[in-house]
Amino acid sequence: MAGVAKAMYSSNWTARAEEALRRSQEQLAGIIGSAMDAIITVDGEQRIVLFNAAAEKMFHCPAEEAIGHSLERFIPERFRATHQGHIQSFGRTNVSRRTMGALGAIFGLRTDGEEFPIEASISQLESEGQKFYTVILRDITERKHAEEALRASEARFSIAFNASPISSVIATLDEGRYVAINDTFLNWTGYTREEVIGRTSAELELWPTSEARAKVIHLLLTQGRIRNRETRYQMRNGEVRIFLMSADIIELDGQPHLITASIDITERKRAEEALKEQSQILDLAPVLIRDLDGRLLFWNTGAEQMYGWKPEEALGKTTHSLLHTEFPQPAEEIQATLFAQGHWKGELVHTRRDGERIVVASHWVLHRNELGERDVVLEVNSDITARKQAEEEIRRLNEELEQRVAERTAQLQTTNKELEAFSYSVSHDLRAPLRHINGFSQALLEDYADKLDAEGQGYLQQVRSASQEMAQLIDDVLELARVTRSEMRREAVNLSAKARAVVDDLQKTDAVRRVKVHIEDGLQAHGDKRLLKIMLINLLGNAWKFTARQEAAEITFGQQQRDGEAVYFVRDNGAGFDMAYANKLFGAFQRLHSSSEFEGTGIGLATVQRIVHRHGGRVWAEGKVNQGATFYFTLANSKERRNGE
Amino acid sequence: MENKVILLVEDNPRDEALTLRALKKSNIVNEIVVARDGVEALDYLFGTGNYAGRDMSEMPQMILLDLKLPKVDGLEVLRKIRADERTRRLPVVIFTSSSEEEDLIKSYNLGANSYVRKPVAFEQFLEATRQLGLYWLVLNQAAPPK
Repeated sequence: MAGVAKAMYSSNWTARAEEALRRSQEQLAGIIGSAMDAIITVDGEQRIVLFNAAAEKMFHCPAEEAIGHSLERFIPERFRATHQGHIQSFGRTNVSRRTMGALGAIFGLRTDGEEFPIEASISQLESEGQKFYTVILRDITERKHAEEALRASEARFSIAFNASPISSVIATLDEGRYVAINDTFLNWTGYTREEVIGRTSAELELWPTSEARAKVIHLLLTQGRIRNRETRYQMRNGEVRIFLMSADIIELDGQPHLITASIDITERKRAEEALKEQSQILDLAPVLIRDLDGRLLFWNTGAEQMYGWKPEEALGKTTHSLLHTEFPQPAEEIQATLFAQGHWKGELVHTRRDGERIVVASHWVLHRNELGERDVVLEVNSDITARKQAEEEIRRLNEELEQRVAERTAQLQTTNKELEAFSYSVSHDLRAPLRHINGFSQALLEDYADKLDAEGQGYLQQVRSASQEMAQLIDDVLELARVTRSEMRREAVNLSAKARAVVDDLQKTDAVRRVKVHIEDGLQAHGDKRLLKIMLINLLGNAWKFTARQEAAEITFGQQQRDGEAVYFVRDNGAGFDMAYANKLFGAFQRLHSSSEFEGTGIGLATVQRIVHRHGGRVWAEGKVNQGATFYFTLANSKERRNGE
Repeated sequence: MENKVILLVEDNPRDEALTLRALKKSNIVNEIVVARDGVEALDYLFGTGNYAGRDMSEMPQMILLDLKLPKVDGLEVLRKIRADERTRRLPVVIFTSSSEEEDLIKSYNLGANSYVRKPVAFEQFLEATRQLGLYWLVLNQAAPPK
């Protein structure tokens, strides 16, 4: 060993002792030579007597060049004086060993002039009256660098931790007691630093439930870390917000700690929810997007449900061939409209996957890219087949109805014409024979009176009056028919004036009668004045007729309000009638009195009822035998009148 | 006063008989020409057919015109009377069974001077005839002949 050979010793030990010593010296030399630290021994004059391999390496200097030289060459010049002093003062102490680091930073000097930090310890030994000092040196350049790096790293971490836009927290793992929190955490939660440090998350009620934290801790312990877990924290004001949280376990002062980083994603979540909702809504409506060549780029659930094609089947296909689109106008025209106006709306016929044809209300929107170039077409369709079918059905029914109405109208018109022809014929032809019967009977009476006895003449009178009655009957029936079929012309009618005119006529034809007639002034109605006059002729005529046997005959025409409705009435104090037969009053040819009592055909009240009904009113009567009768009638109510005919 | 002709246009012989009887009973002594359908009435008025060559200076003082007539009906006869310069001012009384509104309106629209419905009771029939005679033959001033 070169190192051992270089160690210099002078000795005059006995041979055995020499042998033992030699072995011991060899062992020592081995240790010194292989030591990691530089070992240098100097004498009292600071001359180097031992310089091991590590020292050679440390100072970049071979031992041959170091041995016998002063140690000073390995000490930076500015420390040499100090160093000298230190050594001497150390020499004066009885301390055999001292760590030199305690005296402050010391530096070595390599032969190439480079200074480097060292850690050193020194020991002294006196041998044969001479002081030897041995220093053990360690190059701590690397450690210093590592320490620097650590310090810088810690500083960077501190800055990153505090300045991070992510909420960061360090808390004890076991109970969640806060050790460090950053500003973002405070900003987001609303707490002050003083309110948080030293307290636990349970005290702050940060976790909505204690289970929530337990679960996170469990995950952390089993998986070692947590990444981007959606977590809910309760803010100082009670609001619960959603965070994306990552956590790790770190050791601080020998204790396991939890470090978390969280970002507030509440708004994002809400936006996502809204988007999800929108897309769900959107899914209800069939939406498809196609490029300008018609190839499908997007096909939503709604489209799938409506057409039966799955997205993977539809995408990439040409829309109009997939759906067998039937256009309401040439496709080029639609395209032109779409390009010119940016959108198009219309009805299309599509064929579903199952072959069923459906009618859709289609809305196309042309989308342009950021350069303003035509990009894609968004098409939203809704199935209106049912609506179209319903419309078609309604149209068909309407047509049918119109057809039926037309047929009925034609039938009615024919019937009416026939009825008119019949009435006309009756009017002309039925009366003529009666007139002849009457006339010739009269001629017989006049010209052949001497050939007929009183009885024969009486019979001829019967023939004559029968013919007259029949003529009257014909006239009444014709009037009833006319009342039914004649066209209604509604206008304001002064019923009071009409009634007065009727009474005047009655008085003229029956001048001897003395009847007290009361007619209320200003009775107005809205109706057909001709029909209303016929009605009054019949009602007042009846009253006139049935009071014929009354000494103090009285007739009243007036109006009452009943349940907000105008009720007109014609009252007399004449023969009256039995209410048991009231229902017979208004039937044609129904009579409650014999012809010998009161003449009449039994058609008058039927005519009255028809006229009232044609006006949308009601008619009824109250009476008692020999105590007069009151006939009430209403005309169309005011509401109907406002609406016109 | 000169007794001018009354033209009775009546297809029914019974009505004819009754009308003649009533006229007689009303002491109307004018000559009565009876036309039994519309064609005959027009022939008389315009001197055609059976009446070709009759003295056209003599025109009826009153025409009693029934509406329901064979061949040419009363309304058509009236229309032709009013359309011709020779006859347009003659008094025409529609004397018929019906009182249908339609008949009344058409008759007056075509220029009838009067419309009387034949009553069934002969007394009234007689009275109607008497009044017509009194009015049109006595009271009324006819238009001067051309």
